Amino acid sequence: MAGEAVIIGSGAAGSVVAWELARNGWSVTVLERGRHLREGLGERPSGELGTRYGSDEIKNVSRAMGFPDGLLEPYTTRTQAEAADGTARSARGALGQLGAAVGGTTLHYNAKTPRFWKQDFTQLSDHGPVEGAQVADWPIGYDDLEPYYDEVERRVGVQGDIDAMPSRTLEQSPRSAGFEMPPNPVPYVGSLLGEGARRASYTTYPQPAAVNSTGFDGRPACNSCGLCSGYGCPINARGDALVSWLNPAVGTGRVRVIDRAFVHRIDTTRKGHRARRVRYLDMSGREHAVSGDIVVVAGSPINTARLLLLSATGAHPDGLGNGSGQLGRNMMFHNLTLAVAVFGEDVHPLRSQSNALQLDDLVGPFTGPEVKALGVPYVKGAMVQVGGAMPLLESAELYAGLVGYGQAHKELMKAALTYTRIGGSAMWHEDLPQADNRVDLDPEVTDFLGIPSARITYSPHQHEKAAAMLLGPRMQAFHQLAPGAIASAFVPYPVISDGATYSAHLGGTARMGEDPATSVCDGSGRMHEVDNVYVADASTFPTFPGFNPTLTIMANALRIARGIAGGSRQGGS
Amino acid sequence: MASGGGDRWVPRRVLLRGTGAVAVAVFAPLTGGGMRQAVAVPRGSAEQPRYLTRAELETLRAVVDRIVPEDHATPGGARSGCAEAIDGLLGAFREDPPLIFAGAPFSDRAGSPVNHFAEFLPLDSYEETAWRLRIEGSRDRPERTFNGPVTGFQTIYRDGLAALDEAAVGGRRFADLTAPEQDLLLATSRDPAVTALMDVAVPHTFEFQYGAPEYGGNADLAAWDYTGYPGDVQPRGWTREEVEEPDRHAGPVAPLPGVVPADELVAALALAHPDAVRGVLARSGGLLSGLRGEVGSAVAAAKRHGAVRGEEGGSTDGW
Repeated sequence: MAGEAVIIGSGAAGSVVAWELARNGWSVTVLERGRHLREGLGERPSGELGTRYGSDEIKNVSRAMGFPDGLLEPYTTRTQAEAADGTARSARGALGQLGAAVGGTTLHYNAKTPRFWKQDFTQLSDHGPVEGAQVADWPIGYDDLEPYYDEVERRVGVQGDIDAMPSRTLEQSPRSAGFEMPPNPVPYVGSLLGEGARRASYTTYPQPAAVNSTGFDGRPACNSCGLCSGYGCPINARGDALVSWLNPAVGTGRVRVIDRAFVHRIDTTRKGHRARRVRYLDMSGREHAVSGDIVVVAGSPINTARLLLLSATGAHPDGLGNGSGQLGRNMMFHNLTLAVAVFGEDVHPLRSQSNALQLDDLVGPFTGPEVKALGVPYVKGAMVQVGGAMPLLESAELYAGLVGYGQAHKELMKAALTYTRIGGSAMWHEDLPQADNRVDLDPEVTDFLGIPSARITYSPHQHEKAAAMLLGPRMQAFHQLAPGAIASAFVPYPVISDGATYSAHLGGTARMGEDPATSVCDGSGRMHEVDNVYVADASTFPTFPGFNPTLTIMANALRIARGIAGGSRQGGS
Repeated sequence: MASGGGDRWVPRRVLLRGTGAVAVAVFAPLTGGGMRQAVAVPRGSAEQPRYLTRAELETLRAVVDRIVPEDHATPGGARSGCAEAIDGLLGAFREDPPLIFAGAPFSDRAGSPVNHFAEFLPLDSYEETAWRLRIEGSRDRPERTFNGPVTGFQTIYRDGLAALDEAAVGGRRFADLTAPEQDLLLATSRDPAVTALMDVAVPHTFEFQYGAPEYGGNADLAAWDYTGYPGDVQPRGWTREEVEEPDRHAGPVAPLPGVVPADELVAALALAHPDAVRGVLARSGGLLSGLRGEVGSAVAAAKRHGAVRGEEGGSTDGW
């Protein structure tokens, strides 16, 4: 039966839930701390929305439009060792925060849409526990998600080439159909790196992406400008939470979006079994409240955990629904290992939908003696995103780190290497869940409204360090083998730093599971201890396999929302 | 923060060559930028700065010209407008809309008949609060000191520029020193006001030198010419052939610049990935000293792990 819902967060999870509930007749209020950036929301077709985004490095990178401000809404961080020493925090600021805007981080995401694999849902059963980690099976399997993957891909519009996908990929992430659109042109540098991969007995293929290669949804085809991750698409060629879900949801007339709404508390009934209302502050610090039959928390892992911790009461002394003690724990960031080839010719790597190719040979798990020698029972890596390059101002920042300033810096800038001579790859690899990697409330630092900031305690597990050292050289090898490569390198971040890499890929903090003693939500996303509060974002993920998570966030949110609405699948619409 | 700032990262021969070049620099007329129309936005001028005094602006012009030195036919930070652009940032709120976010979605450099970048975007109250705090500092106002005092860019520049003028001995101001003297002073000063200035002035100068000209720097698009950078290419983008094929117009490539050891350069190029640099920027706080520490530790780790290879798969010695 249709009711009223309050959704906190308008990103990949919240927008999908809003759409599904609205089309089933629910009245929905979406509370978003970020700003409206797409003029005409709910009033115009998605192809006709305005935008504040352009191919402008100062606006998007240096000044971080569409992100939370590091002064007004800081996070604080520390490593596990610092926490053990009693250090309250070692850094404060804009530390790897996701975007804050209506539509969430998807306004400027890279839009790569791999599926998780079957093996990811049964990791504990298949491989047993790992010391120092809290590996768990998911309460659902790939088969439960598959129809939602299909439906999400059709709505956001995914490009890809099923015929080019390796057989293991298709066995592990079976598809009932091909893709909505053929892939973008494969960049020249991708062909060279693809050949290097072939020489190393690896396979590359066009990476599935929610990027139009043909007109779709009234929006144009991508023209390979190369400025994707971190940039709003100036020509609106990308499927995202806003154009694909939230805009049509608002268009039903049953969804209202309140931007710059800083939610700080979910009030519950006296015994704590039900949420009564959601409280938020506006920019001037004025208090507001919204009531609904259900509350859906979709703030992304750090902020979902922060809100639930802020909502502690007598009945929930350690945070809302935290009888398990797991709320805020198992904070997972994908870890980053990079490789690069330097070429002896101009390979114009920026002329491309960014990192257009995918390589799955390093997903794992790897279990040989070389893995045991690294002190872990197995290593899971990730898909590799092949073909990266960098625009000018970011290059200037990088070289400032290398040589400072002055003539040496200018010589590096003149050499134009980062957009003419390199082909790079990134592997955002699996992060095992740990109890001590956690979000809690900073005891002193607050946001500009006086609400305690999220504090992140994080260090990579030996598993992540082992993955970087085992797989980094394999990444480098296929770069070195690329035709025309004159040099190569890899950089294994988990062994460089004991802190977080700061990925835009976040998971955990409110894991779902069958046992209320060890998980925060059940398989439907509902909190074990609060009847009408659901968590719909990546906070629910028990583990965090090495694939870009947005497609799975959307598919899982759609599954959770359909469970709430009791609705049926809808083909098109 | 592993390997911090200091001049030990810059090989001596580079310093010598760089300063030598500047000392004899001939200001050749720029001819390369004619094919693209640069747009002048309202900004302060040398005669009428927006925030700084004329004397402060003169010192700042000298500073940005050490950050991006003038050489041969390519302009430095001063001639590119970086000092006036920084002054524009310091006085961003004297314009309406403030000079924070350029407009969207297109400039007129790649097929759009209208330059949307030229008109800045109105800010909402959150954005205004954030950028006023960053530029003006907390100024003892209770609503701005929720996490303690914040020193704004205005104060950092004003104090740092004054400290530089004070450090220029012999009755001279910083701008009166020779370029090698200026370089030496900047590299050796332990004055916290100077360190704080360079922490923000270096990233700001690079922003304005290499970013879109609508922010006030990159005059005549000269920086995009001497770097061979195509600039913003929307809405034209690239054709299938331009994406898939080798560039028939590309000339032979130059050797890798010798300003840093090749293995360090190649390791740094592995970081030339937007995802990696966002992390570097976040952890560095956007400050020069933070960037040095972040990139330095990553490059050192790559070398430590033998993670850099040259052409024959061996070491990079000698190429």
